[in-house]
Amino acid sequence: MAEIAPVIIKNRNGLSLYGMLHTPAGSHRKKTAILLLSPGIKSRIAPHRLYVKMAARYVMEGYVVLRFDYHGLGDSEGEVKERFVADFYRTIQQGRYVDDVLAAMDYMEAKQGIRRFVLGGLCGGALTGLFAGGSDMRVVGLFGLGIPVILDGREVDAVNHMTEGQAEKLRKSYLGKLLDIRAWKRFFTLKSDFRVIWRVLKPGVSKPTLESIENNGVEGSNFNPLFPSAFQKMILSSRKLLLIFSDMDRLYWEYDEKFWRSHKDKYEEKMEYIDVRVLKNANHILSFPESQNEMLNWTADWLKGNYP
Amino acid sequence: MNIAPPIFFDNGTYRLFGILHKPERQSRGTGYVLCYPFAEERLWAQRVYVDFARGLSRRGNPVLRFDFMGTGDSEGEFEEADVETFLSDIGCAIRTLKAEIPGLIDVGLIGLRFGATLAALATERSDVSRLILWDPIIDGNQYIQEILRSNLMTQTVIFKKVQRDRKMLVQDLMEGKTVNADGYEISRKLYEGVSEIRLNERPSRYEKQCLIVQIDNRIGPIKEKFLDLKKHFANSSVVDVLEEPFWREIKAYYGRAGNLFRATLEWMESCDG
Repeated sequence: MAEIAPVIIKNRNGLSLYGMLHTPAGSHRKKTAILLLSPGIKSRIAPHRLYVKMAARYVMEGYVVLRFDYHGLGDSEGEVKERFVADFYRTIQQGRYVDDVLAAMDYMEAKQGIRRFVLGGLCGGALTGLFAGGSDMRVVGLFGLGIPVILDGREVDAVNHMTEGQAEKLRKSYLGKLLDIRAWKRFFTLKSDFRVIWRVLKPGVSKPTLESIENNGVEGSNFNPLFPSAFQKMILSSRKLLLIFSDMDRLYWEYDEKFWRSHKDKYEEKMEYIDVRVLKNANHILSFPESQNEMLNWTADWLKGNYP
Repeated sequence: MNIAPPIFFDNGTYRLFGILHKPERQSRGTGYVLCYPFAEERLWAQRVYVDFARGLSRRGNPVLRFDFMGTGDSEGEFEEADVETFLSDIGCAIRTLKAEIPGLIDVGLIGLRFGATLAALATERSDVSRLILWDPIIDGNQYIQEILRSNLMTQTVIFKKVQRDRKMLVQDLMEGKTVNADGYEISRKLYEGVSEIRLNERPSRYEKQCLIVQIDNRIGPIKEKFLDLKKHFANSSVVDVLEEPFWREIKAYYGRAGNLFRATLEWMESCDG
């Protein structure tokens, strides 16, 4: 049976980060360890204990797994001073927690003698992993669930930046409600969001133009300008990426429309390092067990195949 | 600030995980066990709990924050958890805090939402010296129906329609299947156990000090349900505090709940004499 033990890691500012270390039973420990990176507020546990389930699965395959709380989150020391969640998420999307990941790798190297790491995470955890991989060659691979390519923030107008995929989904949803009396009641009592309806019913408005793609990362776009370079650093140094999206999650359309379509030509020779998959009938946090199990199988097979 | 040690402690066949906040100054006499709210509410509320536990520890009160079986870092599967295991876990946490802090005799319980409900129920079987209920769930049936509604909402997002309505979900539970709520598998035992809870149905046998806190983001009168609950606890008071519902996803980031802490600490001071 695997051993699970609490650990305390000092980050580079001397703050204590609380974590949980899962060590495989017996001597068949693999040389690569997995760090599960917090998705954001939901700590080292993740929504509905997703990271607890992931750690249990990977440790069964022989990987040492560490999941820990960033400073200011979960049980760890430190503070988050942002007053709004969206502003806080933006700082994660700008690399707020990369140093904590490097500190965790230092800890694992010192205490466990492990020098090779695969980073994994949901949403902000995946992105933090991509940034950390870009700055540290001890990271040999990354698997990300619903990796975001945009910047959040209180000032960001989500309706303005809606993808065509998202608009199409909403369009179908509105068409399905044409005979729904409650929907019309909401419409006529001004409870509907008319900006969204206007945006969705005007096809083409939200379609990315060449200009909008090229302007990604500058004024007028919510694309994260740090994303392409971090992605490039991982792939051009021949480290593998497994990106899993949920089909009912806007993050997939954002990845596809705001990043991949305009960057894929650069990676024609490197496609063996990029594996993108979409989970059917899944939401962002993989609520249903079917999508959790499929994700666990995909990631475990990918790990075994690439980091035996 | 002292490092609060993370600990595992046994409750029968499984281990519970907790963080022990030892008093940073001479002990104030009463220790507190913090009971987390249900499912995702635990994760949203965690930093408020952490901040309050640290504040109490600085004040001289030892605190144990712990995860119920099948939640957080504790062992077990959520679908095996029910009201009985939750109450047993609270009893175990009280014993553990007493064992960890030499000389500690009095232990109080603090809970938020369903954590408060469980804390109130735990007083029937454990020796509790103070009870602090932050916005307790009073009607278990109403609460579990809200939880089932989250399944319907997830179905709507994923399948664009409800494939299994509330009646069918309850039928599934009665047939021994689990029902998913925000990723948590609810069992029949848990469903029935929560459904049966009515905190204000009969007078509580708990006669020691009790604080009931209404948390609301608008100033207004104390709701009838809390005034009614007060009648069921012999030695209780009820206050209202202005806070956002920090146990769910809201726009504001909530690392601490200043008004809630102030009201709770004032009450503790008055109890300490």
